[in-house]
Amino acid sequence: MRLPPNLNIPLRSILLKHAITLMAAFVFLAALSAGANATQLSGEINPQRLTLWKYSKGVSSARFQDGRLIMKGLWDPEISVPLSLDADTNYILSLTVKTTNASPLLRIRWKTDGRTRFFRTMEVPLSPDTQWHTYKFDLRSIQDLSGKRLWSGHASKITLTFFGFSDTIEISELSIAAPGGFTDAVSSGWQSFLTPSAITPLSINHTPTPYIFQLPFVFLLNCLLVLCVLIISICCFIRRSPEGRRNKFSFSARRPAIVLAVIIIVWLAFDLRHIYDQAYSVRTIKSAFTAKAERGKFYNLNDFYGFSDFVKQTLPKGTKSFKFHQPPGSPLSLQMKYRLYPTRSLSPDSPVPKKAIYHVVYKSPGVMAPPGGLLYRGRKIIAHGTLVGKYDDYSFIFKETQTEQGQKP
Amino acid sequence: MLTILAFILPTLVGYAVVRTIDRERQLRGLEITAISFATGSGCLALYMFVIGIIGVGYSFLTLAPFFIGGGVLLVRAIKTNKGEKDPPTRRVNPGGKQNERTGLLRVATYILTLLIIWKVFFVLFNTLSYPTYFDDALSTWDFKAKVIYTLAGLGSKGTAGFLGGSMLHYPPGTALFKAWLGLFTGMWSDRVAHLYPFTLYVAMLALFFSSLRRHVSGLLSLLFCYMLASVPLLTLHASSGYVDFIVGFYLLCSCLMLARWFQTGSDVFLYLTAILAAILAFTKNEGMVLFIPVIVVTFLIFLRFARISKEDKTKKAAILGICLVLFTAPWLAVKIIYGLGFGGIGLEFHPEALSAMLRMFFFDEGSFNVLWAAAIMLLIVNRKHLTNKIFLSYFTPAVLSLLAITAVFVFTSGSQWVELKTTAGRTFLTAVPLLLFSLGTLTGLALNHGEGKTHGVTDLTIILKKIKGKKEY
Repeated sequence: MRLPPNLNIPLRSILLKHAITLMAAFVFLAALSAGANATQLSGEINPQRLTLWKYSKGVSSARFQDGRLIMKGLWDPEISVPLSLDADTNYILSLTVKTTNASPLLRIRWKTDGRTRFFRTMEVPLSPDTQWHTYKFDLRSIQDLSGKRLWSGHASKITLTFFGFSDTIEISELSIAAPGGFTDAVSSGWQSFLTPSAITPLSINHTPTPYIFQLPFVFLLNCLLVLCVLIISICCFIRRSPEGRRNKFSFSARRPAIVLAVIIIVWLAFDLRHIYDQAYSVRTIKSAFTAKAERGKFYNLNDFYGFSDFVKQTLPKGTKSFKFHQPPGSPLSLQMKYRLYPTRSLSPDSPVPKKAIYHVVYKSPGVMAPPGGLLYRGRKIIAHGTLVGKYDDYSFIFKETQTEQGQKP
Repeated sequence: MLTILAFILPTLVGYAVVRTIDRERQLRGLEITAISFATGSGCLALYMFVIGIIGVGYSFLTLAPFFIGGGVLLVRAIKTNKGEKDPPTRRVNPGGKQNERTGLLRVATYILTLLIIWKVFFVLFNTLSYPTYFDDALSTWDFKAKVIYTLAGLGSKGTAGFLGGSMLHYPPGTALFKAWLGLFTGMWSDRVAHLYPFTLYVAMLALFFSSLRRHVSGLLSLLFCYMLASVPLLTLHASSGYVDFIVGFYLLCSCLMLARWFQTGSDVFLYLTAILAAILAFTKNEGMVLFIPVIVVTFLIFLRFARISKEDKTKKAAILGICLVLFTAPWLAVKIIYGLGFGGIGLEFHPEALSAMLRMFFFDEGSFNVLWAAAIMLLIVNRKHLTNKIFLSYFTPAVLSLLAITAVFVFTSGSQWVELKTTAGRTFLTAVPLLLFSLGTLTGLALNHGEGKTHGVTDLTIILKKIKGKKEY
């Protein structure tokens, strides 16, 4: 089944159209394929499975083509997949994906054991080279704050969020399965270790440790260090002698140097792995700057910094305040307040000041300014005026000259 | 060019201040460069605070006196020291027969140097790539700096921009220096502002290496310098808009100076301790509430074991006390006058915070590499040297700092920050440079112990003689 492609019309009608299509497809195919096993999640993408997936408002369009799902995102597109899995047996998530985002970040969440809350997981940086890559995650390595494993029991849903705006994401394979054998189990445990962590200023409170075979790497190294020192101390005790105490080249006399050597080796082991994360982070950010339109992108903040510079340059000097329309649920108001100071950033529903009102819109679904001098929020006209600057199809500055009641400010 | 000058000018003033105090040139090389920048940038912030709070705006005319005064001090210091020979450098010789550099040691030196260079590059890359990104930096630290820069002053009470306009009870020390960078370069830039913590990061490594080099071999100093440079959370903080790392830097500086006072008996280091501790208090509230008491208690412990007369002890205590009060008075006065407080939290008992901390240190976070386990192992294995006075002069404030931080999370409602893995990590980060330094000296003592005497710095008799007074020395 082929889903409609993206059309350049107000978003609400796009979403309505897709919702109706998906619903119809679901009913039709559910009736036809009542016996099909849609509860396990394995391998190749097929249209049957796609009908059961739920797409968030951040998805502009989604279609199936040549054995892969092609999704056009709006803001942080998200897909939720229903499951019926034994999480203790099936824990290797395999994803083959390609994205046009220059600093892509994937978040994986799930529901298990009937709980209604999603659990946060680690956020994984994807490759910024816009090529196909297969990622494997051992979901058992994710724990909550008290150390309890989160992927356990009966898994009923998994959600993938691809941070970014207006990106095209293609998925050709998505599966959660048990490891194929000993080799596969070892390979996936090792794969978890090699998956880089996203190092961003968001990591200001703590930096993550990689996991290897479900255990935190730093914990393994700590154990190794303690074990080595214990062995060295036992050797010293066994080999102790009065002559040894006087001989500066004896094992006992060299113990501090040996222990230091062990500490250096263990420290280096962790640091070299951390340098891998750092190098990956440098590569990702660097490529975000050399990507299209020379607009730097920073993971979940996308190209916000470039947009804020655009606003600073476009708003007339002396502008005291503006109304800021941001993507729902995003934490950009604090950013905007800082970036545009001393110009004040107000929420869209703030009281109307006397002077000309500027509406600064950044990738806010439903806030549109088509030709005609009207500003829409959904279907409601919220202002009359003119477009004074356009950053991209969904980010612009609108100068209001009349309220929707036709009154001048 | 302007950016570089914005850093050089305060450094020169700092150098003038340090040289005026340190006439015997006991601080030299990398040490004095790092201390000069730390002192100069902090003193500039204090000066801007004093003139700002009395309503004077920041301009070339109002900031020039600071640099003119620094220039006068510099000229006097150069004239006074002209012709005097530098005293011999006191360095540790790790045993006469090991002066030859083996191939292995040379390779180790190159590898460590390359690793440190990578860390510095990574911090610089992040500094120049990321604008102000997250939370406290956006709402407080960088925001205050931007407000001060925009208003070119501290505003007046009741206005939106007073003391930076956000979280008034937070000290504006770092915000003032960042505002200076913006004022001097003529524009506000996040990246230029973040060059401040980056410069402090480089200064910290330089100070750490050169100070440790006084006690241990070059390779060991380089090794511990690498360990400090590579602490994962520290490399992130050195390129962010947060101030926890800066607090750690000033804690290290002031405790190093205090330890030098204990080792040499020279009052120069007491004055520097007071100045740097005051700048520490002007950086974050924890500086005043936690670390000034740590420094004072450490000083009192040192004073207790110093073999000098009661009169001399009173004099030393007066020097530190008066200087501390003098340099912290402006900020304290503002807090009292405007009722700003320290943002207190309730006293409660949360023993569960200890298990959360153990998890954080040893199990599920990579913030500190294997530092905590390594520290315990080094202390156990080298326990014979735990009573060494040199080691204790660094380890005492490190332990007291860690205890003070732990107490905050165990005995107050602050325990929630450990459970949520938020503030706790970066609060413990403040004590890491000092802890690593003390471990470096301990390791050096242990490695040198079996290879013959070092130059007298570990000789207790000489230390006691120095504390008694220079004449006897």
